[in-house]
Amino acid sequence: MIIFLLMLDYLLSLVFLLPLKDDRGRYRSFPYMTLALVLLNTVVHVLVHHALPLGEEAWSQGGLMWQAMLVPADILNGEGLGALSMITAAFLHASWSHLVGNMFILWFFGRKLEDMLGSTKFGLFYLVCVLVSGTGSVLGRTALPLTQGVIPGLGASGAIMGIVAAYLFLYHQQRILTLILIGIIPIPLRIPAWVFILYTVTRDILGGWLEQEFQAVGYLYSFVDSFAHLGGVIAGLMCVYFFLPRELLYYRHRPDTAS
Amino acid sequence: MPNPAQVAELLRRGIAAAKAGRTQEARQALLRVTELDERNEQAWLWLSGVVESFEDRRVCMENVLAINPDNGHAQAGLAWLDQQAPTPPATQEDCPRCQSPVPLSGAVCPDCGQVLIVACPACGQYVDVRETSCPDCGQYLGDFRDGARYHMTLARAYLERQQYVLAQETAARAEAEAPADPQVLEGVAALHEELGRNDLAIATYERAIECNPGNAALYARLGMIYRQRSMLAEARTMYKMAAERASDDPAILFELAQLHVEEDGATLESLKLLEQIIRLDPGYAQAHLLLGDVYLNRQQGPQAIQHYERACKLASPDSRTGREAHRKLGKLRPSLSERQAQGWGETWRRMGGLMLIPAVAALVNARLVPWQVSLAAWYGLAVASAGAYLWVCATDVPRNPAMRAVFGQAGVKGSRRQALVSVPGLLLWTAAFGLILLKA
Repeated sequence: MIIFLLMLDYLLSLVFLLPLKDDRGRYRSFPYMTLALVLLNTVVHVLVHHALPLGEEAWSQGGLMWQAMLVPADILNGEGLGALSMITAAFLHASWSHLVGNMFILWFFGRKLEDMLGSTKFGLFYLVCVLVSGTGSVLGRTALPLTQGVIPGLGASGAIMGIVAAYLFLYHQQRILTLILIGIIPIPLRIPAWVFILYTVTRDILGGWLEQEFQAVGYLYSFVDSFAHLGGVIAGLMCVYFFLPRELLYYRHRPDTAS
Repeated sequence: MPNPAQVAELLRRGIAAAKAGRTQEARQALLRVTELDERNEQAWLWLSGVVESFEDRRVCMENVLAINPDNGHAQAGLAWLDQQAPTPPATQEDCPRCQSPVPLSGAVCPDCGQVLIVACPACGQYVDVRETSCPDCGQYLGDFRDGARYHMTLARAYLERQQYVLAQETAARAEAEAPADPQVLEGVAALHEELGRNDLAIATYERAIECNPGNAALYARLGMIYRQRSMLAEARTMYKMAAERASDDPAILFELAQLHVEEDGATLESLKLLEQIIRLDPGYAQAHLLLGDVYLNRQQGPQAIQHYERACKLASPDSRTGREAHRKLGKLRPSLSERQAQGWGETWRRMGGLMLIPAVAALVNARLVPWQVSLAAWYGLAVASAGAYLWVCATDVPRNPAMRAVFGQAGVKGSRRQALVSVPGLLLWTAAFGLILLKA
């Protein structure tokens, strides 16, 4: 079984999906909140990694940046900043590639969702995704037999997965022009939105499962926080209901009212 | 004076060398003879056999004939030279249409006006008009024998590649080739239209109409140009003429209906026209949308709703028609029923979104154990819910029962009331969330 899962994860890791364009028309409003989130993440990254004189001790246990990262074990022990660390960790990134990858997906899906929800509600929904994905990370990573949630986590990917999931909830019939990179071979293809998220969720479930299996025998499998991603997906699918404009709900639930 | 003995000796040696195949020696000796005695017929004749080029040979023969016009050898030799001489390079060719000679460098036949070379739309290389494909890039060019249609195809290809000058020139050529072909004229006019040369487009459409007065599409195109130029009377005339010729074409009738509504408003005539369009094509979303507008202007709300709903169903939600229909329907009929809009259901849903944030934060701070949520956090949640309620009432559910009880039937209406309710709500919610977050 584990060999099969490993092979499947390996095969999926050979494929990289880069969304380029969907069929939705022009935006009704400028995505101020998405832009603000992208800028804030970038500014924080520049400050933390390039501008502020933070030494090694800031990143080591008990240091300033350690406090700002999400340490599941600390949350469950009632130590550290608690829920606040989930928010601060969502604005920290490990490297430029980590930041750029996350911000690209946030920009692609976020502005569509912001167009639908409005800027304020989109900002609040993002906050919900941050907290729920953080909770998913705490629950999943503390259950790991080896690390038991002592490794700090950072990045906006959990919340962004929430945005992606909400996009799927609203526009599952959309087709996304995606650059599929199989190794170094790029294939541009219009794929349904649900394929995009199915691929991502499958990878996260596999990643979480394999992490559990590997840690059970004393090895680390990956540093990707699959549990935060899954938490984000759950947040996106379940919580977007509370932020939807009522017009959308009305037509969604009464499609046959038209004569 | 040349020494005759010396000349004779040189001639003898030259002839002997020529006979022996020693052409160079023969040439030297015979040339020397001609220098000493330029009217020596035998020397010139033998020299003609040992010089290298055709031109030199011809000169020798001509010299022999100048000395003795009856020299049969020289005459035969010249005749032979004429046959053997290489053909001079061509300086002209035949026109592919009228076959009259045209200079090789010419672009157009001076006799029939046939174009001789065309620029390939794909690579820009000049290509002989007889080629059906560009020899350089393989782009299909068509058959020049198709005449005006060949030029129209080329013109469209130029236009697609933003080669506007070439497109215009080629369209003019097409028009010149078939000045009475309505299809060609329609194509040329459409091209002028796309190039923004509306005056030319109008003139060409008018000529196309003269050639084919029964073509409704030509009138409709003219009507559209007039409409764009705000020449509404002319546009209406054209649309009417188009509609007379194609009374079963919903697209043409719709253009006319739009003009009617714009100019005259929601008249009975517009209404009838739009209903006729919908009878012809029940799936015409734009017609349903416009008919909804007409009914709305005539104070017939239920019919307007019916047609807006139909437009919503027919048009894609992302299309302009779909968005417009949704927006108008949303205005006309609240997306929630009056009971829902004023009730608690929508309020709870809205508050749910706002309360999720402090609730999850409180749960996380209580180590994810609900019964370990501190008393302070519970107070915080209570305050946050009060704040969320006020915020929701001010922004999303202004006629909620409590607000109606406080402010009357209108609820939280007007910017002053909204500020009065939303600002405390926002402050309460933010303060409570902040306190929960900081584990105060």
